[in-house]
Amino acid sequence: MRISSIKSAAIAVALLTACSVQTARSEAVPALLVSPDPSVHAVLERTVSQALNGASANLADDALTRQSNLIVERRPLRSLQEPGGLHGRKLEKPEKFRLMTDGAECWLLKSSDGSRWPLPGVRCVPEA
Amino acid sequence: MEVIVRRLAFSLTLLFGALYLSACGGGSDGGSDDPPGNGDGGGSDGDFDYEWEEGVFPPSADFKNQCGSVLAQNHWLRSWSHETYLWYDEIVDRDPADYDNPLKYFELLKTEERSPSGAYKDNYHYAEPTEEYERRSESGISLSYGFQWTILDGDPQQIYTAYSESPDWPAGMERGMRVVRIDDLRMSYADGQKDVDFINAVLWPSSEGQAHEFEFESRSGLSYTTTLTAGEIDMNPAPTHYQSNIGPGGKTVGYLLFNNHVATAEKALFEAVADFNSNGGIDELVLDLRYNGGGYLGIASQLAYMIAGSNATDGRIFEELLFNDQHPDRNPFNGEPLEPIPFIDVTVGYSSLDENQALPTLDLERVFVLSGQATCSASESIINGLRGIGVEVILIGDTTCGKPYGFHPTGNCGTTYFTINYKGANDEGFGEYADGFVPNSYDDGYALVEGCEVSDDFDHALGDTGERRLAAALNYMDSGSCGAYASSYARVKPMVADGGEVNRIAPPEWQRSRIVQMPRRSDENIEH
Repeated sequence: MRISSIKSAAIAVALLTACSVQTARSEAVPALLVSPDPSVHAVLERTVSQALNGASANLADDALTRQSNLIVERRPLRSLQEPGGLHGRKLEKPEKFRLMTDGAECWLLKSSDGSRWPLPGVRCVPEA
Repeated sequence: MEVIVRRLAFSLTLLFGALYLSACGGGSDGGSDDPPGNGDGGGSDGDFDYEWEEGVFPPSADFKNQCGSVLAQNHWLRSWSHETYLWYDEIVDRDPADYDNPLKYFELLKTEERSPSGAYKDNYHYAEPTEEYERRSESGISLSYGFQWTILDGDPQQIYTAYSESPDWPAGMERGMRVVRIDDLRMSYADGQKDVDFINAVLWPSSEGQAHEFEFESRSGLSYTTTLTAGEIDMNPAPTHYQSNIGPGGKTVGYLLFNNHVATAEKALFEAVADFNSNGGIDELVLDLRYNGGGYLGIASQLAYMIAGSNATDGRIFEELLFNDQHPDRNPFNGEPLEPIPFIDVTVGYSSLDENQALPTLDLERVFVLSGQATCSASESIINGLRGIGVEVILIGDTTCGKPYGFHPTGNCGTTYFTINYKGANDEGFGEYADGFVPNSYDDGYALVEGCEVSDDFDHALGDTGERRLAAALNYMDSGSCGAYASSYARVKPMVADGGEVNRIAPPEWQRSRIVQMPRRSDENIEH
């Protein structure tokens, strides 16, 4: 009886643990970067550039450390004649990414088409 | 129902944009079908052979991406301009074979006509390497020295520090300092494109850590030399807002400084307006756009909606995009029906705010706009859009830049070309302000806007009630005039055509006389 109870408890714990692990791995949630160093920053910029068909992207050093959203837009071209910017009205929308994690991996989710862009070697934690 | 229609209309607008971008290749107007290379005209003509026939324009697609041939690139530019340029019928048709550089040929593919003031009608015709055009940066991050500049008449000797992008100015710096020298180049000796390119590259750095020695002249006339290093600045596009009982009879006046229509402005403006309301609301608004060169048109529409409110904007047009007369119904770049841009009453996902949140409103019947030469494009759309629905705009400052136009930048062979493709008109169909909105003693419903010319005031911080333009606005609320703050009064009468109908407005004398010296801009007075 006692052994049976212990077995049952053990099975229950095992199931709960398995469920817990499975939940952590399967539910994608918004995330923040953990201690991004220059190499992580380089991965991030390279990945964003790939997601934008090779367009270079300049991101802040602390990008994705305070919020999971990353918004990128064209840099305004400025000049002596047009210090406010030459490009004029913009009808397009900026590109938005969201850092996501399932507990095992981190990736960028591109809002405009839902594509997923893995960030190999990058550590992140769920956004509080 | 109205909200749904409005949201749908704007969603369609965005969808058109998305479709267009998609069609052009991955969000690039320059396009992935745009091989890098011969934009400078260095290619040979290979086997390409096509004989120019005046007035006959084959489809531009016939010449697209033939980068080994300068002649093919010229023919593409010629046909593309004919198809899409707003004033395509004012381009002098020249034989593409006579030009060995597409950029030189492109320079000629525009109107030489003049605006009513006598200035050139098209001042916005340019090209840049597609690689440069495609560069992106994180929204809200500015690569700068911690502040931005204001430049009068494009003159290197009139470059001033305008506003800090951080809460505090960098050490030793303040508003209104004039650049005297950068490295070895004295501004008084700046001459030629090489110097202009150098100044542009320094004022708006392209890489972090870029450092230059600047000599400034301070407001008191003293020389100050310092080395400034470019860095990433977390800038707020709407850094200052407050409300106070400083209006006549204790009216509550809200002041909102809005410098840049970047994506993060959606959230900043939402929060500023919500803040006004949560603190009891405001009776009057002073919107400071003097340094705002434009950006996302959707954000301009959102701000106009927040100012005017639901009742005033219900079913009205914020801005209608008008292409040339070959395209009255459909956007020539994506083939979609042309839909006017409504006053947008919800968040649309520019910023980190969730989409479809109702925007707060101020429900004002008039707004004071502080303007300058740099008040441009989407900023002018706010002025025009509000006037189009009967919201009174009082313009205090300088004549705005005059850019009711927009582009669909298009790439070919490594170069992205900007030719004016459309103009924006308000709910009343008005969009003719190529000479800018002019502060004037009365509002003519067109480009003359009630208000007064008031010079910029570098001796006070932006938002300081002692700052000349803001002080003039407050004076205007009280007395209906700018009083002693006005630089001059521009009183003009409408020019009446033969048929007795007002068809255009003569520019004021001060403006006409200045055009002789400067073809585009009026002088913006700085009182020292």
